Amino acid sequence: MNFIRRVLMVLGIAGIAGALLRVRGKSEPSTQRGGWRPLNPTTDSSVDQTSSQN
Amino acid sequence: MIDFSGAIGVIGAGVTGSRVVEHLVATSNNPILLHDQDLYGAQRLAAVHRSRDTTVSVVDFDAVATASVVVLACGSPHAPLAQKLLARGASVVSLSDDVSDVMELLNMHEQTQALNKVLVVGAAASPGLTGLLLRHLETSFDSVDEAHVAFHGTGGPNCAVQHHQALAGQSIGWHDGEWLRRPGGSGRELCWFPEPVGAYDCYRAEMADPILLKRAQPQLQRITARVSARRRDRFTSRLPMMTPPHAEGGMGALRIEVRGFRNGSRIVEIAGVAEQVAQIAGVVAATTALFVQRGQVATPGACVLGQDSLPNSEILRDILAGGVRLHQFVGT
Repeated sequence: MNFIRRVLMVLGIAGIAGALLRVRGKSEPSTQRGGWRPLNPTTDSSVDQTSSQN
Repeated sequence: MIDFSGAIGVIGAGVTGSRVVEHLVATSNNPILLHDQDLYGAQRLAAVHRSRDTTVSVVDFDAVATASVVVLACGSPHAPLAQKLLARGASVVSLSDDVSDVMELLNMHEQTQALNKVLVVGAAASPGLTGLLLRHLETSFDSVDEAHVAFHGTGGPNCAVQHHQALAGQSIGWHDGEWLRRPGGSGRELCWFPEPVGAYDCYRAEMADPILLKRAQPQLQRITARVSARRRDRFTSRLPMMTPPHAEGGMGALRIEVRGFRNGSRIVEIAGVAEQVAQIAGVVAATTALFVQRGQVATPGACVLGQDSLPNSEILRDILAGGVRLHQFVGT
């Protein structure tokens, strides 16, 4: 009985630790600096940058 | 008696199907044959467009199969439906983004070729528009070898369920000559989408994009696809959906990052779109269907948007004329 209880406790703690590791952590940014500008391939006309990120 | 010659069929009168019909009505005069298991929903959608010049008729499956091209805008699987439609003489445009379904559709290439019909696989937002953007960006390079897709948002309820399941599945990526399988929900990357969507953490997911982009551009060495998710999405991805999906998701976005060489230098180009996902998918599918119906997709068989045999720049031009705004990232 004690053995089963310990196994369940270990599994529970491992599950909680796994879940925390899964949802926490730092993001790796794909891009650092810049913004988006409208693009029209047919006329290739571009407008100035409309938004900035960092 | 209504004349259905040159008709375009649409199966699915949900969120995406209604955008397909809306775009077809706005840009063509072809009769539209609409079919859905929800007869009331189909009749309601047809009634919305009743006063316009184009005829939208609610019909059964046998009648929709008489159309020259049928758009599959219903929930997956599309492969069995496509098989029946091709056998009855219709070309097919599928919006499926389910990996196994997409694989089955691609495997129907020889059968489609033998019937001298066209089967366009994954003509939606992601996959679909991503292939066209890859093709468009490729013109700025001497050679391209990497494509990385990120996607945010959902279309209708079926799309939301697919998005939920994708995070729990195995992501497929092409890496230096072999397919790599990684667990969905891993590989966090902060991706910036065009405004007003902005930045979202994106993770690997079971998405069809890498398979279709590899098919479109076989020279690519690395292809990945990620989808945005919140902590709750990742935490509950292996469970059934806790709450029913929204009737329609909010503003969505997609971006594709292409890497390659120009004049001997390594460069990166990023293009993206911010729009409601169902709207993007509807415009892409309807535009593709019109190209197939007009015979502008000449090569029979299963094909994907972005591959050499398709008039990709013309399709992209018409999609942008349909109101989808393309953006290019400028920065580092």
